[in-house]
Amino acid sequence: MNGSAPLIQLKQVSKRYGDQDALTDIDLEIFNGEFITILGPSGCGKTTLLRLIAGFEPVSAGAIYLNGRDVADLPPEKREVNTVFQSYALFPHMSVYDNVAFGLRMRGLAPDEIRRRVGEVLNLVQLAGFEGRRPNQLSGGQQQRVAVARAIVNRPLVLLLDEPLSALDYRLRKQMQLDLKHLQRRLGITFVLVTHDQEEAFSMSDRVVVLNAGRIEQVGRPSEVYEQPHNLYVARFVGEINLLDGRVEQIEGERITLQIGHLKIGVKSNRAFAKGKAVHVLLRPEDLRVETLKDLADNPALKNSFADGGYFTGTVEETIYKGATYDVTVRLDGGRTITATEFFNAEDATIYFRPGDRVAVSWIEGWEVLLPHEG
Amino acid sequence: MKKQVQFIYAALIYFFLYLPLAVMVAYSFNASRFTMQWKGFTLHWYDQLLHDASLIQAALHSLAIATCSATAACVVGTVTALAIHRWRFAGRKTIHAVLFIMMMSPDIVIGISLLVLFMAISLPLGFWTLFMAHVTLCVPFVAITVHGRLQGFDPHVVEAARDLGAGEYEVWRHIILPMTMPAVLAGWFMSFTLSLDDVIIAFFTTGPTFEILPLRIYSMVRLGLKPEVNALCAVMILITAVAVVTTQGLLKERQ
Repeated sequence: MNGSAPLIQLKQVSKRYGDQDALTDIDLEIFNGEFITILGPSGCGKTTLLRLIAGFEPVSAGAIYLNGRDVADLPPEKREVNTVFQSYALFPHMSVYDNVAFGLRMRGLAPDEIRRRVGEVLNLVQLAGFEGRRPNQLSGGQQQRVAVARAIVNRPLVLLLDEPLSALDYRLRKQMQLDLKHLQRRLGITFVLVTHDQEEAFSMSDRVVVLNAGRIEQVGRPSEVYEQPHNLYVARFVGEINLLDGRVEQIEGERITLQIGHLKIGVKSNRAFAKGKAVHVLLRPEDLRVETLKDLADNPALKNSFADGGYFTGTVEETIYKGATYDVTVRLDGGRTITATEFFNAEDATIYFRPGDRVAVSWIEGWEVLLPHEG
Repeated sequence: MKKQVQFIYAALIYFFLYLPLAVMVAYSFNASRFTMQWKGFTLHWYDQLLHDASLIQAALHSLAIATCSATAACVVGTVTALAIHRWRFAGRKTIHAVLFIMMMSPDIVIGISLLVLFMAISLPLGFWTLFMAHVTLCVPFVAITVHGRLQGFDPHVVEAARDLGAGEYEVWRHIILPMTMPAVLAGWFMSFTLSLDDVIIAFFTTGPTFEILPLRIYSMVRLGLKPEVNALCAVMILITAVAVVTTQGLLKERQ
């Protein structure tokens, strides 16, 4: 980021269990004060990555540097890293106070200092007054906050969070996402969060690491990962996607003319493509424009503004109500099915399209993403 | 209707289980010495019990052996459970299986095999042989109780403690020991009861120098049922009941 040395550096880190590769050649730099999220499906190795940084398991190959120092020989209790576990792992036989004070006591701090810092942190997570409770007397959200308090009270260099919100219900999860983000801003501690929920990753983090089958697919700001996915896997994982197959017909600098089905369409891409190559055109549902053929015929102005490169035609199969928006599934005349997200009109809160409507589909030029064809 | 059937069913079970005990306790208050007829309420037999020096001696022996062997079995059993829970080593599965076999083996087999062993190494039968026999009897019960509790823990709790700066010793001291303590205590009371009740193993492994209560009762009964024995058994039921209730209370999660 700002040119300073990374706080955590992973160099060619691999982890094997028996003959199973959990992580392969992970190179990653995490900077001070950053909120970084490791995003991937279950079993992709994201929790393993966290456990390697925390020191619960040794790396099979490569090295991890914390603040410039190789931590290979440091056991977890010697690393200035604290973890919030998915199961919270609170000590069931201790009160909230003792749970939070545990780390400070292990470091041999004076009782006065411990009392002050525990009180401060419990205030921060809004659990003042709960000192004497046992973990099993708390709700899931409260237990989660105790787990966070127990970790941050030690003022670690890095806080590792392993799917900390997955056990909470939807509303509470949303609230805790915000709370965690605010907490991170306030404390300035580096947060490394693991999740399989792309929405959570996007709304909380400065940078997202997309992990798949033990390898990093892409690292970048949430908007980069969403708008410029490096490959089909990332594109699919971080949101709904429509795929069209095309062939490169002509290249003039960034402008590329594609043959998609019977249409020639001009697109833009800063990637280099060879003439004649097969490509994927990626379109998010919210980037697609859908109009009925009837409206286009009735309204020349609309038709002019709709698309100059031509458009696809198709038939509406289904509409799905989503609350603030609705999805329109269109079977294109070529046979492919695509989904577009539409907003309700200001003056009309009904779903405009009906199954069976003949429609035209296009998109705003430049919003598409071009990727080399992956088989 | 269904509720009533359930109630009657449960009542019958308790009736058959506890009727003999109830009859015995009732007769311990019967004033008649020789007949089974009810001749009125008395505490005479309890009084006589208190003044029977050799019976008191046997009772003290029993309590001593139960306390000692329960304590020793707790130490050995807990360490065994912790070892098979915490570390992966060769023979770990075997130990686990052997514990179950020992728990299931008939007392008479344990008794005779220990007797053969003690004779082979020519140990005189008495306190020490009985002590060792009862420790052998109780270790599997403690180990399996404690192991069961350890299995129920969130495995990340130990990692959380290390993450917060606890070394190996602190993890034992502040996390594992306090969390297993209820199971250890429950194992102690279980062992205490097992040792106190045992006749068969004790029959083979103790000698004339160290007489314990169950054997003493056994020899008294051979000459005919005596009301003192009823009184004595009533006292033992009370002790056992207290131990069982304590065990259950300790094993129950404090939810």
